[in-house]
Amino acid sequence: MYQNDQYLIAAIKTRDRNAFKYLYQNYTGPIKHFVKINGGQDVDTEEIEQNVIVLLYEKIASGNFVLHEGTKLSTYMFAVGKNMWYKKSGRTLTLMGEESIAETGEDYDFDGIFESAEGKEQIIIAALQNTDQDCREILTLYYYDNKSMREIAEKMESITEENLRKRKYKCIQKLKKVLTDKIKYHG
Amino acid sequence: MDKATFLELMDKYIDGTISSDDKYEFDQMLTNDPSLHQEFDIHKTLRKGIKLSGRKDLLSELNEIKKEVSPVKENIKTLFPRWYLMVAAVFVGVIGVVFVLRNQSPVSSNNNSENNYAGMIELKTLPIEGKLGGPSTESIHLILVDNNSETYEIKNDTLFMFTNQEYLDEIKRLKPIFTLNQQRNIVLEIKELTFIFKKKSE
Repeated sequence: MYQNDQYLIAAIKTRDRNAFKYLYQNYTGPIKHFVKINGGQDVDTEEIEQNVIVLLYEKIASGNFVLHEGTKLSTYMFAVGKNMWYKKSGRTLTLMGEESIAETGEDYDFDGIFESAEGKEQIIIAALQNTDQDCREILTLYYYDNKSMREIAEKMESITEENLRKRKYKCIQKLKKVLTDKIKYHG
Repeated sequence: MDKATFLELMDKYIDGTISSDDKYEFDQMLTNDPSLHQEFDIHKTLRKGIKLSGRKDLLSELNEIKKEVSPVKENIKTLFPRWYLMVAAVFVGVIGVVFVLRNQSPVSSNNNSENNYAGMIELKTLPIEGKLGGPSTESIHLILVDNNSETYEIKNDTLFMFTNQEYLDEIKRLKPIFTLNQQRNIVLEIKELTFIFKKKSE
């Protein structure tokens, strides 16, 4: 379906549903198996699988994702899943030659993948759910999907880049107002 | 400077894409107007909240996509019954001892040969209760290497291949380890076990 990993990565960047399906069908099985044989319950295998894909998407979307020459995407994802499971389960396996994360010296930045939103963040998430669809889309595309203003303007069609810029500002102001009002109200 | 431009500057500042001129101007603004610090802090919180919201949306989307997926390959099946693993483990243990003995023998002078592997072979077998993966572990792919990054990569690759039942690829990928010839490089033998599994799975 995809000629090589680079095509797949390009499709993931566009949030192509088929690309995600392809990952589930062909790439995540070994991750789940690894978690399972290393003490994970079903809920853990599901969580790690989902988080690996989320993390992969975020890295690709940020434009910082580089697959080193000779490394397959499947291998990369497996290594991320493995280390994610070590981190979550607090394992430091040394007996069988499995180094702890710290010992490997590899830097797996999970970017708060296990953190849940609290306090102010919860307020913002709720505010975004209740705000108008356009605002939600603009802010998510810009801040989560890392799209440029030009890309967002193209996607939304009937808006110029300059108007989009103003719109984004207004959307941010709306969110800010919700947040500051809540903070004032709740002290 | 209009407020929309100030917002863009804050974003660029946080993303690290701000130009040095703009950064200078931005820093001056913060110095001259301390209330902007609070503005800046709120903006960082907003960004974090939006990101978490985006992540939450993606997770919901992924959950939906996953429901549509009927796996092409069944997620890795239990390869063999546990009793077979025990037998295989013992069998490999015997082979391992043979290899260790062979390595200690003066006959094995060619350290680069596949049979000598890296000069010292340490064989450990699974399942071992409570050591790796707990009592129900069925993991038998274990490869112990030194901290050499190359071998570490190989370990990751081969573990993936093994779990994906790509045995031939795995053996191919293991080749560099067999020829590393490092004095204290400890390789946990998996080749035989891989072959056993490959044979049985055919």
